[in-house]
Amino acid sequence: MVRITSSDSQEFSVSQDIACQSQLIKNMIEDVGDADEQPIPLPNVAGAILQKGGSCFPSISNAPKLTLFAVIEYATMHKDDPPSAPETDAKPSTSEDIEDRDKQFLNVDQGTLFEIILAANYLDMKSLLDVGCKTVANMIKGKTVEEVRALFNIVNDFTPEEEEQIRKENEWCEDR
Amino acid sequence: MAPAALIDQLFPTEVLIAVFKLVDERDRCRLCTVNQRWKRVLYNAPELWKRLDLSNRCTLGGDKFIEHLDHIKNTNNLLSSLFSQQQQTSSPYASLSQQPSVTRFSRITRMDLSCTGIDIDFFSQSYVAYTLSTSLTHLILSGCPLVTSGSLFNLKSLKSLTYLDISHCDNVDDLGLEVLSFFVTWLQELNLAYLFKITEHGIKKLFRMVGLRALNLLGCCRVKSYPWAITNAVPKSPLQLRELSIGEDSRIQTRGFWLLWCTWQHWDMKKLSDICPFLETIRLNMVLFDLPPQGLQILLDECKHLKTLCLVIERNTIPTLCSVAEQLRNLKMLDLTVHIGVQGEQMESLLAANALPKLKALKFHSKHTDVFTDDSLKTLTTQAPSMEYLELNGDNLDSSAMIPVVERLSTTLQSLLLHHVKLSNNAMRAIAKKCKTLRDLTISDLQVDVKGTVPQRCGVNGVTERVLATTEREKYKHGLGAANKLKWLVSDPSICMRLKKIELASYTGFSDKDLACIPTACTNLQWVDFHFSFTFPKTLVALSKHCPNLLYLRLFHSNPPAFYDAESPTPSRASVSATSATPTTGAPNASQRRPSSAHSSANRIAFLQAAQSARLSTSSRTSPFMASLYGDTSRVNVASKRDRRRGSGRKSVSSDVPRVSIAQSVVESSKKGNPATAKGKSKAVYKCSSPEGQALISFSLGSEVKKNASDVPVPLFNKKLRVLDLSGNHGLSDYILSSAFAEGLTNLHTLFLEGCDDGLTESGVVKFAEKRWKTLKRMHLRNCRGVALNVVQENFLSKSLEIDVVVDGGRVRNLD
Repeated sequence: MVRITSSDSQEFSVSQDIACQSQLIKNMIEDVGDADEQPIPLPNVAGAILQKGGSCFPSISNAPKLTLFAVIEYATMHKDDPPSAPETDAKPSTSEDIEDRDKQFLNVDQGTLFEIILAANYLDMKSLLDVGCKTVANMIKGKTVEEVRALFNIVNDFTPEEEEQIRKENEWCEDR
Repeated sequence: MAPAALIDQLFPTEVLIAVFKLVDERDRCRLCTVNQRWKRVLYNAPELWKRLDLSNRCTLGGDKFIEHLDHIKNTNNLLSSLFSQQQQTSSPYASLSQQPSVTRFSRITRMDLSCTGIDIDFFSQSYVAYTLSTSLTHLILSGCPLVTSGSLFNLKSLKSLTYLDISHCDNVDDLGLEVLSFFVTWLQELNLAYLFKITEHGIKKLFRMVGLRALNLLGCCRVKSYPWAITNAVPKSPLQLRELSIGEDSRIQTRGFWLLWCTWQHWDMKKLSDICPFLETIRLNMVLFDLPPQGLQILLDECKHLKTLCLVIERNTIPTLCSVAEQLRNLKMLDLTVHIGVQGEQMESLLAANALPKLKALKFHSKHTDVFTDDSLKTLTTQAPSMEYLELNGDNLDSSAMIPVVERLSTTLQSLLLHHVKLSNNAMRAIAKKCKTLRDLTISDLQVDVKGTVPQRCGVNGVTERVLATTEREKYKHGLGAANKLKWLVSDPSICMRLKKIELASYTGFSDKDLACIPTACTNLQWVDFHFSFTFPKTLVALSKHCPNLLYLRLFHSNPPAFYDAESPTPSRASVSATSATPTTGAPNASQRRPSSAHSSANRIAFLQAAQSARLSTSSRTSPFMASLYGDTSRVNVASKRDRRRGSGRKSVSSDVPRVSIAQSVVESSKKGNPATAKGKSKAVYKCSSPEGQALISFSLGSEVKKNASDVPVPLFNKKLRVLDLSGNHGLSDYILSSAFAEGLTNLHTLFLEGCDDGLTESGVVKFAEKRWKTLKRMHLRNCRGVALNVVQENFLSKSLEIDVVVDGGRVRNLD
């Protein structure tokens, strides 16, 4: 078992093969040696800052979702996955192929989703990061600029002239 | 200043880039305009812009080339602005683009400029050459009319280029190949497909390029003997060529056409394998050559690295194939095209020799080659479990024979072409559920599995008509029931998302409702061919509503046979609409055209009668033909006779016979003076407000999706459509063609119209052409009797507007 602590000092105990889905933790364990001695601090991952989210487990679906908890939940879900094949340049990756369980897992509010992606990025968990980015990409796909801004509450900080200029520079992609 | 959005607060640049990597180029371009940060991230991430695709590839090869002054359409201007730093700094907003736009494309590896008016002078400009010389590896110039032999010289600065595609560049000849062999010697792969001007002499020059690994010579019809035959001497050192493609691209070949030149003589496998001993891939697509018995043996013996082989097999080569079965098993991929004349037992001998485990594609030169029985098909799919392309004639197959086939090939099959096949509902469902990778489905000449009804072959005249009518009715009864099969075909959402191309041809039993469910469910369709199916307004509207990517559409419209209609408890929609249509449509045009009195509807009817009986009498020259048709118990005949009896006066599609029947029905019904039949007779004319007319309008304008009167019609859905083939009477009138079509179908370049003679006249055609001359490249009109182009109009279309006009098979002469 490996003990890890979140930024708000919550401690989690997980089995090594689950924890080692994070390349970061794996490296730490390899560097430090015996992992049982002391908990691994993960100062960039919050345990409980987020309010609500769906969960694969109905019993706790209304409980506050913890980012690290969610990440562990994901890692547990995927512990038996075969190692992913190295990505080749020739075939551009698509965002269509999300497994149903992952879709359900990431069916959370934007804040939670972003936190999970960040945590995956920090923990270096490629599969979770991928699936998270795919989810965000699917949210963006095919939307107009206005829709994207509305989706993420992004404020347009261009002047009208600037915006027009950028739009012109990128017009070539439309209508093809 | 407002606080940054959550996504901007949280996401570091690398995560944003990871997200941007997953959306397509168009989305990325759009996202540049979201806010400053996103723009900065996108512009400074050349890894997101490795591929630049400015091609007009989806034009199906018919775009009219005119020099666009429009910035976006002019590829040269566009590229210059994308790559130029000057433009950035001189623009009034230079300050906001700290990083010149050129950073974006500094690591571009693949550039696709196919079907554009690119002038490759562009690549000789110093800043372009500087940016691209180290990064660009793939350049695609397929179908660019301004690429000439001399201008290929400008590619000399692209030092990293490994792949060059100049296929379909009509202006490249042998000189161009010589230029390439001198100045772009580092090329590894060269695609010269469909260069009609190149000959053996040019190809010989290419072998100076020692690094050349792959050569595509598909469709180079002047290369008759294989390229090195003229040297007679074997080159000093063997060529390093790994991949060679000769023949005809099977995707664009038209059946029957390939025979014109894809026949090769003096083919010498020994010589080929001597000169190119390292060949790994040989594609002899659609090539028929006189292969000596041991030719294949030599090839397989000498070219030890051979992995991929595409061949045409005919009766005589099959024993050879059997004898090298062992070696065929060691290939990675085998692609076979079966020539006419191959029998079932020969196919079975191949299977018995177990020669086909690596079979990836099985094609046929003729749809009517039926070589499979249920058993041999089963053996084939067991032996060759990785087939991607399967074509079949289903003559001898059971209606559920496809179920095990699609089960075995579920993860590989991409194209399935079935001809003359019986398909049970379960088979349909199996196709939908099991084919995980299917993108292209053709079911032509679907056979109805008539259970319980005895198929009556009526060879004897006399009772024939009655009997045939019964069986036909049975057939249609079952047929229309069988059309429910389509429901099963779209029963699985994943097949619906994948299907790009669908062809349901030569089967008349599909109803409008059933066909409409296909476009409704399959929203990614690009190629739709409902030829010889009954198509109705619902299908059209569904196509316009749900399939924004449609490029090719072929529809054949006719009404169901009268006896079906008679059987149906409720009148079909078409008949309702037609009855409600008043016969005034096209009257203004008609009256303009012919100075007869076609002002009131009554007059119009009288006029129709007169005109059509006149036509009938003029067509008396062909009367023996007619008589034979009438004597014959063809389906059309039965239909038309029943039509006449009911006085429905519907128009069928084929040219002459229905014409006659309509004329007669008009005459007869007027004799009877039956008001109902008089009403029915007016069905012949569609009004713009009829469902058919409305469907056409909404198909072209997308106005169907307009919710309120005040709304602007939602963006035109079919603006991508390039080829439209309408046969039969769809209710296409002058008004619809010249206004709705001209406004809505903005990219249409090829229009086929056959048998559209309902309110369509030459003035509509000319108006349409005049409005759309910029994109319209060719117009084929057949049996459109209302259209009578005069010399001035023909000249105007073909010369002034540069539109290729073909009327009834004869090309409108160009006065040049």
